[in-house]
Amino acid sequence: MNRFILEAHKISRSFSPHEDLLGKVVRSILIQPNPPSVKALTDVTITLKTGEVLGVVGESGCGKSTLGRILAGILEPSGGQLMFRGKNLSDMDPHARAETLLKIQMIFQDPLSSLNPRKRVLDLIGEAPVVHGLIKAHERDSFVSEALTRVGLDKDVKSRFPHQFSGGQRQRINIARALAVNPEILICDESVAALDVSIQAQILNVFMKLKAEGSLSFIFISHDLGVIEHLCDRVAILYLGRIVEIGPVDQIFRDAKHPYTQALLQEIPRIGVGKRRFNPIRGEIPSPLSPPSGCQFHPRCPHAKIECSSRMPGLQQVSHEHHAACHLLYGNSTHLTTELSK
Amino acid sequence: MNKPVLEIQNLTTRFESEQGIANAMDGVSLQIDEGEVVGLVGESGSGKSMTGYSIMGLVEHPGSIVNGSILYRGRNLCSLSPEELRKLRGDRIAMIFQDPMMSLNPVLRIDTQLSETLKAHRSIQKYDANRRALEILHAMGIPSPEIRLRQYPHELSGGMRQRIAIAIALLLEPDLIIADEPTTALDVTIQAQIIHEFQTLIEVRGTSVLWITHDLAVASTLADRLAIMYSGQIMEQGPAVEILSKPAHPYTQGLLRSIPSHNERGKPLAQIRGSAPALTQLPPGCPFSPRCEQAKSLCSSPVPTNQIGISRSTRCHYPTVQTL
Repeated sequence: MNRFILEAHKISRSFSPHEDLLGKVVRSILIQPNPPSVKALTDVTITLKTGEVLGVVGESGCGKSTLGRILAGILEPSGGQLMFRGKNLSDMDPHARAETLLKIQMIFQDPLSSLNPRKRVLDLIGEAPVVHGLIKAHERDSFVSEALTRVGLDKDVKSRFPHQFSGGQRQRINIARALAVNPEILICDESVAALDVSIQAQILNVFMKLKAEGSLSFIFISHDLGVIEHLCDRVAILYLGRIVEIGPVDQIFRDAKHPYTQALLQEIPRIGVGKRRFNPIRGEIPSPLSPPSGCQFHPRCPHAKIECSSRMPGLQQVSHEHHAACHLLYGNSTHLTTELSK
Repeated sequence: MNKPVLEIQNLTTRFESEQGIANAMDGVSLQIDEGEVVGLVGESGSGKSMTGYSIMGLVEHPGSIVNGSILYRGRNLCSLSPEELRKLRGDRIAMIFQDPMMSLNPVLRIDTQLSETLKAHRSIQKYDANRRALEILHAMGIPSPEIRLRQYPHELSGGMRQRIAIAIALLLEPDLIIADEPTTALDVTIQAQIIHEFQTLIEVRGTSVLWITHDLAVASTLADRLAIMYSGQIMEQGPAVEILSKPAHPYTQGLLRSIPSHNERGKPLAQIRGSAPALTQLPPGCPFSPRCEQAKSLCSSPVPTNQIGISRSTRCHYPTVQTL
């Protein structure tokens, strides 16, 4: 059996502005170039092992949500391959593809807008498994009760509407709904970001309980490094649509190799340090419409050298399973470590 | 030092609606000294933003301040006329919002907005106003400020807009800044930059700050003192270092314990059960009691604010300092 449940190979995705017929005609008459497209993702390769939690971290615009949507089959990649249990999704016939994608479910950030406000919990959770023939219609009631208990909700809430719940309870309903079709992968896109601190812990515990049950693998997209460190086995750090570092969580949090990862880790406000001064990296995230040349992080990097602006670094193996894309890693890596330890 | 800039005494801000009466703030007492940064931490609906609005006189119908006083250098803000309050607001007390577009006018250029603020409170020549505007943008770490001054808000990134909003708040060198989640919507690296520049500026000028946030970690990196709010009441306040290491209120203890870094990696997080009650349906006595692991029968009777130590207080019948 394949060790990887999900493999994404060199996934790319670009978005170009919508153009109507008139616009196209005018452009071809005036011989103008194609409108600029935004590269949301470039050559992203990740693998997900069975039972693993893979974190995806990055700031806004880095393509982490685009990646989540592509992995869930909601969005088509412009290039690259997606494989579920070793089978290429683009080679499947529509029926097999739909069946496979049922195994990959997604949980979104906003627990309210992802629930149909006119449906009762019984239908929200129970409809999909009946439609897909996983359960019989008469089994629905007991099935939904079981699903609610699994995520820590009372089974008597079946006849209620989404607006009658609090944010944390709604997110539990979303999880129960995703679990109802018996998925093997859950993709959580900022699933706890909109929740209050005390509720966040409750929902994270639900995820951890599901992980401990052992039958699920997770892609956990978040900007919160504290959550990632607690929950994930491995983590991928995205910057402007590319993976700049990927590896086991304990290694990355202890010994990050990419200056961007290091900056992220340094700048997270943490409790226990007390009042402190930040030493922020300069500049803003560049526009993906006109990304910088070479290493895309070089205009903000405190260690940038001349070659960083001319050549894009590829992902290099640092140690087993740990890869980083930085020129400073090869050649004089000692220079980097000493400079960074300051 | 140590003279209070702002003293909130027993303040109650009430909203009356068809669902009933909700006290968004219920007997809140809080003091901000000169040059001090006070972090006001709470979850959504805890009344932390309402505290900011009440100080600024921005509570609108159906809400109103029904009890208590807000003293700014001894003057009660609640009894000032709208004109007197307008003079104070923006000049001596300024506010920064989570969404910078709350304080920026989308159809005016940045330089217009900055010099308008100056002209509204000072008699100042156009040349001097422009110079001051340039200076403050420079101090906020805005690259090429000359160009930014001639741009409109929509031409700027979210982080840059928030810097401009902060620059406007700092322009008249106020005594007190009320910052309502100003970095919540920003990315981590931008948040760090803005906090860094903000810290530098307030330290130089000795500005007092009320930093309102839901994020204990952000508050802990900035604040001298912390106040923890829940359901309109301040559950606990005192020096930040003490509250974070030795919380006395079960709510603070629960909050701190539920933070991932306070838990062993991969193990279930300590969690507070249930969720915050609606303000119209608060339980009698301590509003936290239905979720509290240590609640006893006394907890359904009104809770006094207990002093623990010289500078700390907590609103709990059974305060027990726990070392985390």
